[in-house]
Amino acid sequence: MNKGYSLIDRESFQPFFSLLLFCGVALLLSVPFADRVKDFHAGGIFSGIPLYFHAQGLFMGIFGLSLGAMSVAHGETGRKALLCMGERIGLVQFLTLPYLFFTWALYPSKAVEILLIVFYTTIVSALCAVGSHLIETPWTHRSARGFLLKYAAFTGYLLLPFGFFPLLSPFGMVDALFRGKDVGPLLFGYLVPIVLLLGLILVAERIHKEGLR
Amino acid sequence: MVQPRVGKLVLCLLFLVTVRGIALPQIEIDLGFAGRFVPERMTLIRLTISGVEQPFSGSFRITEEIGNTWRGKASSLIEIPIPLVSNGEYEQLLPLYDFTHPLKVFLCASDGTSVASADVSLRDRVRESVFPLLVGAFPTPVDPEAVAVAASDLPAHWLAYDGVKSLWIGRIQDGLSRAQWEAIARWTLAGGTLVLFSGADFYPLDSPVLRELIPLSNTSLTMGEDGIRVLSGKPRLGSRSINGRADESTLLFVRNYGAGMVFLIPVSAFDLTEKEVAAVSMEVPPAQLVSLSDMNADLLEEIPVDRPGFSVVFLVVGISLLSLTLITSKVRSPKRIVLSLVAATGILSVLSGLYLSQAKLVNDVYALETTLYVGTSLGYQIEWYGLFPNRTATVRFEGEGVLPVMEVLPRDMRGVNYDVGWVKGEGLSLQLEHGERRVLRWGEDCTIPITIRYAGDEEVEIENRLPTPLSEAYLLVDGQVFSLGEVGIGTWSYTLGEGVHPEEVPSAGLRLHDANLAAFYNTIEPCYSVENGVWLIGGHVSDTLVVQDGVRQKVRVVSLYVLAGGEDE
Repeated sequence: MNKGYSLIDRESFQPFFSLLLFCGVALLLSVPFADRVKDFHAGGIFSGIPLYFHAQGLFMGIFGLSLGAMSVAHGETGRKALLCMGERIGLVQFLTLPYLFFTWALYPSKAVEILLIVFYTTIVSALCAVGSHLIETPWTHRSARGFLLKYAAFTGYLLLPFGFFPLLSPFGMVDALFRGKDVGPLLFGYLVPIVLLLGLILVAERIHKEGLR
Repeated sequence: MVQPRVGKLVLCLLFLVTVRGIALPQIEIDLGFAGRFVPERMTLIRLTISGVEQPFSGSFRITEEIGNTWRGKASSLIEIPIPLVSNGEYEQLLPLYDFTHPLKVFLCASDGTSVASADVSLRDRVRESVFPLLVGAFPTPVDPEAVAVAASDLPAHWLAYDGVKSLWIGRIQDGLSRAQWEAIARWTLAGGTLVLFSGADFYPLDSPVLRELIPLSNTSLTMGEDGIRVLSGKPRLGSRSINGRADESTLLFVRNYGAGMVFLIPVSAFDLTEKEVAAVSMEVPPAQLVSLSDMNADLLEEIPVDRPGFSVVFLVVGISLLSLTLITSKVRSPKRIVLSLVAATGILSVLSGLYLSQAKLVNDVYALETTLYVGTSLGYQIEWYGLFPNRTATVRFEGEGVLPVMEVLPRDMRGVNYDVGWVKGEGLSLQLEHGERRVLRWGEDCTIPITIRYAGDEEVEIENRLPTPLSEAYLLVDGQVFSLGEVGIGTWSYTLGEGVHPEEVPSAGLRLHDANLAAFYNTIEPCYSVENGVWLIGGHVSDTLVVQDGVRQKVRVVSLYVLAGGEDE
C-alpha cells in the first residue's frame, strides 16, 4: 500500500482528532455561561475574548507542524508533498465546518471576519506544514532536535511579534481580524505569512530538485 | 517715503480687523430659572444671538466637561442644527450634568467652523438640590431657598421644571399662555407640586387647563364677610380641604393630580397673613417625579440571553470526534474514509444550520426600553433605556426627538467612557464597552391613541388605535377593578359585571400577569391615585431584534399605559 496517497488513515488521524478536540473545547468555552443578563456578572473568564479563533490559530499551526512530519514519514516529496499537505489542511478545515456554524451563532455580526480568519489560519497552517516538512526532511535535521527546533520556532512565531508588531503573530492577527482593524496593517499581516510560505515552497522545490540530482 | 505707506497700511488693517470684530456674532447665555439650575436635571438654556448681518445655515454646539480626576471624566456634546441663524433668541432644553467646568456654546457655520463662542460658569449658578419656584407677586417671602421668575420666563415644556421642588403661582397680571399651563399640568401629572393662590387673583390666571387642575369644579368667586374675595366650588372626588386660617375657614384645598399634587389657596396671597403663608408652606411636599431607574435596571438583568445550548454544542463536538474515530478505524479504503468524513461533516453542518435559528444567535447588545404613558386630557411619556453590551459596540438611537436624551451617570465614572453626543434630529450615539451598564432617560409630551367611552351604565367602549394590542388591561371604576384581558387594535365594547367581572382585590392589589408589567405597575402604583374615576391600566411587552451598523441589539420594550377615562363629578 502506498501511504503517500492516503490523506487520513488509522495511523495519521491523531492530528485531525487533536484539532477537532481542542477547537471543540474552545467552542464550548466560548458559549456564554449566562442564561440572563445578570449572570454576566459572574461571566465567563473568556467573555470578550474570541477564544475559539485563538484556539483555531494555535491548533491549525500545530496541525501544520504535524502534517510536515507526517508528510516526511509518508515519503512525500516535492509538489506531491505540497499537494497532500494542502489537501489535508482543506480536509481539516472542512471537518471544523459544524464548529464554524456555531461560532457564527456566537458572533453573528462577524460572518466576514470569521471567513477571513479561516483563510488566515489556513495560510498559517500551510506555512507551518511546509516549514516543518523542511525541518524534518533528511537533508536538514532528522532527529529530536528537529522536533524541538520546529516547536521553538512556532512558539517564537506566536509570541515574539507581540514585542514589535503583534499582527505578525497568529494570535495578534486573529484578534485584529476579529475586532476589525485598519485595512493596511491587516493586509500586511496577511502578506507576511503568504510571502514566507511562497519562499519556503521555493526552498522545498529547490531542495527536492537537488535531491533528484 | 516708505514709512507713511506702511503706517497707512497698518491703519487700514486695524480698521478692517475692528470692522470684522464688530460684525462678528455674539452669544449671550441664560440658563435655568433666573440663572439657577440643579445638576443632573434637564435645564432650559436661552441663547441670544446678535451681530449677525447675513442669516446663514449653521448649528449650535454645546459642550460640557463632566467630573474630575477622582470621579472620572466624561463629556457631553449637544448639536442643534439651525436652518437659518439670525439675530434673536433660541431656546433648548438640555441635560446639565455637572457644575465644575464652564458650559461652552459655539455657533458654527455649516462647514463646522466656529463663528462665535461663549461660555458660562456653572459653579456660581448651581443649586445642590431642587428649589421652590415663585411666579408672580407675593407679599411675603415664601421660602428663603425660593427662586422668583417673571411669568413670561416660565418654560413651555414640562421637563424644564425638572429641578423645581414646588411651583408657587401668585399674582400674575397677564396670566400664562396655554403652552405654559399645559407644561405645568404635565409636570404636575408627572409628580410635580403646584401651589396656586386664587381669590382676587384667580381670573387673570383662569384657563381651561387650570380649571381641570384645581381641586374645585364649578368655581365662582364670593365675597367673604371680611371683604376678601374667596374662590369656592364643588370639591372634586378625592380632594380634601385643610382649615387653618385665623377665622377657621379653609386655608387650602388639596388634590392628587396624576403623580403630583395641586394645592389651591382660595384667597389671594395678599389676603393671607405671614403665618398663614408659612402654614401653607408647611403642607406642601416636594415634587417627586416618577423614576423608572431601579425597575429598569432590575428588568434589564432579567432579559434572557440568546445562545446555542451547551448540550447541543457538546453533542456536535462529540459527534465530530466520534465520527472521525469510527470512520478512520472502521473504513479501510483511503478514498472512502475521506468521502465518509465529508458526508458525516456535511450532514452535521446541515443539522447545525437548521438548529441555529435567530433565537440561538448571541446578541451584541441587550437593551431594555421601559416607557410609561400617562394621559388625562393631556399626556406625557417617560422612557428609560438600560443597555448591556455583550461586546464593545457603538449604538445609535435615531429619532426625530427634539429633546436630548439624558444619560444617568454614576458617581464613579472611572474606567468607563461615558461621553455622550446628541444631534437634534439625528439622535444619540454611545460607545459601549463589554460588560458595562448604561442608563438613559427621556421624556416627551404625548397623546395616547386610546379612547375610553364610559356611559356610566356599565357599558364601556375602548378604542385602541395603538399599532399593537395591549396584552393585558384592567379598567378601574371608582376603585373597582375589571380585567379586560387583551385589548386588540380597534374598538371593543364591554359590559361590566357581565362577562367582565370585578376582581376581588382592590385597586391597590391589581396584579398584572406578565412579570415585567407587574414590576412596572408596582413601581408607579404608589405615585398615582386611581381610586376615583375611570382608569385604564394596561401594557404590552415585546422583544425585537435591531441590527444597526452590524450591531445586533435585542430590545425588550415594556410599555405601561395609565389613562384616565373621565371622572364621576
